[in-house]
Amino acid sequence: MTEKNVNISIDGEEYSVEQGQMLIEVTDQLGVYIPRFCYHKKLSIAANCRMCLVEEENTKNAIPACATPVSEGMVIKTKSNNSQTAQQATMEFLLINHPLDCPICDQGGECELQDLAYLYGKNNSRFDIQKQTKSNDNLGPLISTDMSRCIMCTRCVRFGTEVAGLPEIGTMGRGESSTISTFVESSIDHELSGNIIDLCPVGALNNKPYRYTDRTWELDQIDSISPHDCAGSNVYLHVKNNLIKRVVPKVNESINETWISDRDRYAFDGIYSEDRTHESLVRINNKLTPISTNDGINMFIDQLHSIKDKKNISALVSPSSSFEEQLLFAHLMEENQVNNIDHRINQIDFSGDALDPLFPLLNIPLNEIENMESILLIGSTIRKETPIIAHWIKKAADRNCEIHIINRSLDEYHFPIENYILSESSLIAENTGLIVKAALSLSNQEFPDHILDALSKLKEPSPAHIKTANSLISKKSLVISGLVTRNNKDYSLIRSYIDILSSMTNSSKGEITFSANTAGAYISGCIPHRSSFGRTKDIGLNAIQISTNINKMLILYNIEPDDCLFRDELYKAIDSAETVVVFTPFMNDVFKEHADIVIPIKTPYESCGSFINVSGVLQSFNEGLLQLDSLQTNQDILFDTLDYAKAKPLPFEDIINKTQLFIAESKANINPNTELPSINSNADILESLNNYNLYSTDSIVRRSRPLQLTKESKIES
Amino acid sequence: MNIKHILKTLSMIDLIKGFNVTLKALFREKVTIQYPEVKTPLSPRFRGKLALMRYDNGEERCIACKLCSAVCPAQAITIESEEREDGTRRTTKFEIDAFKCIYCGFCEEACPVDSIVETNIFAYHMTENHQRIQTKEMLLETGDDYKEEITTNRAKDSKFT
Repeated sequence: MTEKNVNISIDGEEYSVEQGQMLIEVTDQLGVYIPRFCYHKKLSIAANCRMCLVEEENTKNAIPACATPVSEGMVIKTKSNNSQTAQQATMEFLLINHPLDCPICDQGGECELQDLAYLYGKNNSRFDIQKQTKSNDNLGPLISTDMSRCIMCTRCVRFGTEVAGLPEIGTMGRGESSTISTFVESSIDHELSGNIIDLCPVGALNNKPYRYTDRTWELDQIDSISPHDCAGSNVYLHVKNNLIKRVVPKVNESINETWISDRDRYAFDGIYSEDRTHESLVRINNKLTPISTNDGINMFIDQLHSIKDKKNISALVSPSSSFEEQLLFAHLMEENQVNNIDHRINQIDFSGDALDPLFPLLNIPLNEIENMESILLIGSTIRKETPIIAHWIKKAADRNCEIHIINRSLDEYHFPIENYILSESSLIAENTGLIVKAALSLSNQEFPDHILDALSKLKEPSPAHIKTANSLISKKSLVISGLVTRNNKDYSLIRSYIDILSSMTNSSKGEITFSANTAGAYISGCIPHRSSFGRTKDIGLNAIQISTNINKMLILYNIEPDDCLFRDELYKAIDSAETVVVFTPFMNDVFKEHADIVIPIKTPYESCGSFINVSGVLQSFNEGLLQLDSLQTNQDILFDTLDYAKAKPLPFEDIINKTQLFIAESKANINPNTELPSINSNADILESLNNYNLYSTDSIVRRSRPLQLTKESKIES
Repeated sequence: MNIKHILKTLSMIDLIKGFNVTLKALFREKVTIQYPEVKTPLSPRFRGKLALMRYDNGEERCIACKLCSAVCPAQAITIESEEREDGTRRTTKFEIDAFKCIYCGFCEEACPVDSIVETNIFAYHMTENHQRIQTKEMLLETGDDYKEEITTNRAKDSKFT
């Protein structure tokens, strides 16, 4: 597309700007403010609030800046009398029916209407008839409504159709009696629905759990990263008196744009659950007794040292702990010759460990997904796993990207699907293989014989497989696998197929992982077959072997049995282990009954650290939190533990730079893997998850009261 | 020393001038009052101890908008709020630190529902340090006790505001 510039004048200054843009986009870039309500840069243009009317010299009437493309010779006067009269008149109309309940409105202080009324409104109202009131819908446990405050900007309606993909709310009625509603009474269940709270320029849609508790000017803002999924959404924590009051999105155009999922927004409530433990406990005479944290750590280290055969010690680390914690913990284990360490509590097939990449990686940035022309999604209930990545795929689909899906159940997708290959979970691998086979016959690349042999054992690909393979080859494509694949019993085979397929079709590839920091867990060495930064070590037991083994000592770092896919096995392992040491923010019945040493740790919301997201972006969080409260972070506890254990200190000063270098290097030298894993062994003792429950993914989410009240959380997993 | 000065000293003219003032004061109307038995009149605008008011039906006026705590230059007001069972916005904690309060009256001006008011009480005391914190109950009690006085004062002042 050829770019053509036009010359316009804004407030007396001459500018040369790109043609085709709307006037308001131009003024926003130039830093000239034009008031607006209905315009939002991520949504389509409605031009129904009329607040952005400005004077253009050659036009008789004022023009709406959000819906007028710039053209040659425009003379815009944003501050002229005509502009201001138009804006004041609009403001006066908007305020006719808006209630004067700012003192009790949670939006007060961050309300766009309030701000603009202050700047553009008149002091007195000429309206002395009774104001209109509207009834409030019950939109579920997350969003509160005060529809009388609504100014009908329809941002929420446009969000529903354009971003969320499910029009859950719409406009009813005409003229003065038009309202925003769900038509029939129902809750809003979309996983991104909380964003309409931020979009609403007034207090009509608001945060229900936060309702009436605090005013915006009382809150401190801390940069953070959401710990609940692998997208690594940027968020702000709003804090008062060292308590998190709410979570709002922070703009990051390359990860989450301006959106966050409901899980990121409301999960923090879980950290104030009654299950929180703040004191160290030690089992004496079969009763948990309080003890100081230092003594608790001492006891743990003494017991760790007293076990001679280190093969009997096992450790499981949470993939949602920060990278620094994982690194320190893995270092502690390495120093004590404990090789049985793993974080993959949601994987049952470990036969491909030898072929593991240095860390699972989506080899394009998240915002590149929308430029794809063809996407193959293998075994993924993507909307529930990572709503933000699902949103990027939706954006790609809006640009006519073909979406191909291999999955076992007909999940509800919010984008059109080109080709749906419905497959039982045991057949996902075969179906992927068939696409590889189809792609092989279509491409003319050379491949090693053992792959050709393996593929020739498969049946003939159906037209559906050929169609997908064709689309992947001929277009700019991406192959991405999800959590259903991760806990599939043929996981290793599927991953190898994906590797081969992506090098065959020249497509990007990626893998959606559990929790916020699976990539970090791989790099930090929380895996049995590799030490930190890809160094080799003696192979230890993997997660499922640890859970089926009888351990002398079992150490659980930030892990609860409920996090785990094979939770029954882990229950048994905890039951049978001689000593169970748990580092945990929460107590549960299993720990109360079986744990021998309990060391309380902080959740990611209260501690600081870094997460490495699905596309290998390292992001540090909560650096501001320490200024608010002098708390002992999880890193401090682990440093103490290392001290007591007299372990070699870890060179920690430059660790973030070192890690970033390591990630950049490994991204640059990815060797395409063309090996297939050996036939898998113990995987068939378990069946994959049937249903992925959005709100039971980690210990914090499970304890979040608002999320547990939603319809989604009622779905049994 | 000059002669003028010597004459002035010997004639004790300054002493006589001084006694003259005393003599005049002796016959003037007395301004000293016998506090606390007698009290000076106070302006209806007098800014004394703070109180919280109720509506006539007994419902507390305060809606927890926190504008008073926002405007308070001494940061003497602490408020916590939540949604009450009937869906209205109410305070769960409303505390004023009497030591911090500088009786500026900004809170009363900021209040959109005329809940927080300043009474004419200027003499009150406490014996323990912690008693300087006036809780919501204490403030409402003051409001109840002095309701009549507060409303008459507001009525008297109304034509000037």
